[in-house]
Amino acid sequence: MAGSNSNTNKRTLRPDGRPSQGNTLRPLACELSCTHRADGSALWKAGLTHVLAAVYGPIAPLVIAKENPNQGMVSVVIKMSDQGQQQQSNNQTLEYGQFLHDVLTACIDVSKFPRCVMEVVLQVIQSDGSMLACLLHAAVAALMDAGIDLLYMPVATTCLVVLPSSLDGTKKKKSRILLDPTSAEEFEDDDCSSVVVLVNEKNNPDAILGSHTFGGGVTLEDLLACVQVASKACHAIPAFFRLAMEQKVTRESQTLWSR
Amino acid sequence: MEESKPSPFPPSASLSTLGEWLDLPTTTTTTTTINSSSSSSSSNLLLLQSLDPQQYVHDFWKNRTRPDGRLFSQSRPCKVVTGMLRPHSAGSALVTTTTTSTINTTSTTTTTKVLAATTLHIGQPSPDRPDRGDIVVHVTGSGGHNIGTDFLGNKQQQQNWDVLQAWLQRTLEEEEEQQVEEDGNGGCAIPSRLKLWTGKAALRLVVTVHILEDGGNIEDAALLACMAAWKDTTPLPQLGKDLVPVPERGGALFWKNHEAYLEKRATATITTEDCNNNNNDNNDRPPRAFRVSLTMGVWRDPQDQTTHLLVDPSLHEKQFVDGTLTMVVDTSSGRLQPQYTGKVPLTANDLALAAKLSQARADELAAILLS
Repeated sequence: MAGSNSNTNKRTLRPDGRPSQGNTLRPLACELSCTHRADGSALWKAGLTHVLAAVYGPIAPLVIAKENPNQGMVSVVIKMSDQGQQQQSNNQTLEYGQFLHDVLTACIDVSKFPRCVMEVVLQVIQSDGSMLACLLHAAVAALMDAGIDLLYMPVATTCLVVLPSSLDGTKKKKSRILLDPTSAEEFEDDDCSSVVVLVNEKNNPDAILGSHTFGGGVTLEDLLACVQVASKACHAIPAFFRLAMEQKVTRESQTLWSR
Repeated sequence: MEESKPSPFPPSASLSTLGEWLDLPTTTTTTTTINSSSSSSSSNLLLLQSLDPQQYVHDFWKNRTRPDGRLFSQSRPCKVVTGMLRPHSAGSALVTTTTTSTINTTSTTTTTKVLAATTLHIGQPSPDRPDRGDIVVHVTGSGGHNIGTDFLGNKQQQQNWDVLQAWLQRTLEEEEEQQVEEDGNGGCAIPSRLKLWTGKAALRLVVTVHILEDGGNIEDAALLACMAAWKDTTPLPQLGKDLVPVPERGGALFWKNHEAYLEKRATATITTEDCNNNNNDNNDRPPRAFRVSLTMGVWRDPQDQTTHLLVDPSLHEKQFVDGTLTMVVDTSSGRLQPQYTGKVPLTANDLALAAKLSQARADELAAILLS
């Protein structure tokens, strides 16, 4: 593992061809309204990680006991494609689902939808790292497509914090931060790395609205460095959302006027 | 940040105006202090607590205190008892946190009580991890006082426990991974504690967590109970010492002297010296590290927009905070795992303060776990 870590340090390119400085996002793609039965849907692609999101609602819940007379409720369902590791997938799905539920409940104006449920269904089509961020972006894109009011637009950034080791195996104190890691990078050095997912918004990029951490943990300095990286990356995603929405509106207007 | 909705009660929900609005007789001069000892203001306080619990809690927070008298940075008193289920389980721990709030002569006590027990199974390791054992966590609960209090009922409670189970499982697995150290040649300088025989036998640690009472902040209590039960799980059986392979029986493992092992486990006492000797498989193994967590509620004062961290929120307070931050700390390396969701953005200063509080709490609990 120390040998492979030194190989990481020597590479000038990351495994997927991005520069080794570690501050480049993977190519993004987003298709809105890809399913017609849902009130809103989005197919989000970040590199080789593909997630399909569908939003149903606001609708009345099937079970009356689930009604909240003061505000609406958000229900998140995640379906993973990984059938090989069932138990690990189940645990991961539960944690991801709870995190997304909390973040989406905070960003949706739920006071406008009392006694209603907004169901967000997320299907992981292909997984290649930075899964939680892709799930959140797909859910937000689908919510926008459904026309549900958001108090702010959450942007998730995934940072891989790696403790580099020298050739003789001793660990140096300064760590590297890789933005938007792939699956190979996440599992390359299990004992020397941690994955930090930070959620923030464009209007207040230096503060975080959510965080989730896997792995051995990070120092406070590394955590604050990840916040800095996330603040720089959070301008790109909203611009991409706007581009995707503009393309959708343009396509729909062309389709309407062509009749 | 959106403005809070106007309360259905008079704008200044002070005790005097609430009493006047409700046309309650007052025998003393009007007073607006929360801590007044007069009986009429106490009854008004109880009335405010039941009619507008959010305003009741916010009135305390604006005075930089909490309904149970704690400061923002104070945790509830915590008691850890280990070994009460011996010899029926390999290790066990009961964590109890209690808080009492008193209004005049009325006292309300809320308790969080979590019991964790460990069991060891011997089995075959996974082919992709031939020198590692396995950890499985089960979370159950009798519900304590919470059956029916949540309007969603038992289903939501069970879902919360499932998420807690997943989080505990991941934390314990990551903690065990951190204990293993690999040398540069692909071998294990410090092997896994759960390894018995590479590729043939390993230990599965089954941790059962039972929530007896939920008075708020179950996550911290459950993780502390798991760590204390894991530490109480001594001694682990070792190949060659307690177990021997029998080639004639296809390499199956047999106990050398099972009665002696059970007796040794039943009479094991946790003292400082014994704890260090029992936990180390060899003299070169570093002292065991633990993971402890600290949960903080995040509240933003609507008047001056300052953000405050409320350490160890009770069940009552948790309903009214603007966010929840849980910091998991590794006691040996000091590394952090922050988990936060909420409506209030946290700045670098808030994260630094949270890290400092978590480190202090980890130092306190490390003294208990390593004693």
